[in-house]
Amino acid sequence: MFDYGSKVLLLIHGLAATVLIGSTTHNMVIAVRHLMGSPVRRKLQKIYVRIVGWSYLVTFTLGLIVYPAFRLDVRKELFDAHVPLATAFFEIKEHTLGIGLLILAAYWPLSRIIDVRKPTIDAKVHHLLGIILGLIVWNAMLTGWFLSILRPVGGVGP
Amino acid sequence: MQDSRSIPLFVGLLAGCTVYLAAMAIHPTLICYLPERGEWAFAAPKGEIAMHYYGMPPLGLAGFAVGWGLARARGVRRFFEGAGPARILAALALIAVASSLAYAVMRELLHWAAL
Repeated sequence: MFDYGSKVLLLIHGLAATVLIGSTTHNMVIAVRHLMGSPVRRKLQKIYVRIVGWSYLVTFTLGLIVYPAFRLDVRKELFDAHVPLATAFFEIKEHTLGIGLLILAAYWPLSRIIDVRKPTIDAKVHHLLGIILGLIVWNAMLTGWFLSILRPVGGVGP
Repeated sequence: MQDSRSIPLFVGLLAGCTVYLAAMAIHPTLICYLPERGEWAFAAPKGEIAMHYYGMPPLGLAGFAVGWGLARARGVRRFFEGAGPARILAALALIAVASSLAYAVMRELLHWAAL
């Protein structure tokens, strides 16, 4: 069911997710520190947001491409039938990432047009969206790890 | 608001999340993928696995684009430039994000945990 090409895509998906988790965590730390009153280096944050944006899009797109194989090979065979709570966590991950895509659609251009150092509503919302996006990515990463432990895609046996 | 260019983004986020939440709640007819057949369809044959998720992000992004486009009208932007409306818009956008996330979690847990 799961061919060699899909495994390569899954590997790239994992690598992109690693970049995403790193950049989004740095971005979250900057946002939290700035909300607590610390100064923010705008240039640095703009770089992080750009990395978050591109790695999110790559990870999300590759996830969509690999999803059918997962749906048949893992979810149908094991999760839906025997571990429905795992399917629940997977579906939560998918929907929160879908909503995260909408957040990114606002967050990414927002970081380019506003000066986050100024204490405006825009800047506060920008930081809050960055933190929410980070939490979504962390949830997705932890869920992915958890499900891989239950049964890796392309793995052998139930 | 600091920059009026942020207004369409907040309206887009509000619209996109609202559309996504509504789609989760009412299950409209969306394009789906049939992995066993390798085909795209709007309705799945009985007993066939249908991946409806593929229709959700494009629908949310379409809602975002409509909200963004509508809010680019000068009158709308001028209205939200005031401090009060700007706060309300920002709060509504964040509430829409939080509500859609919370609904997704509740829906899936209730659905799959009940099986």
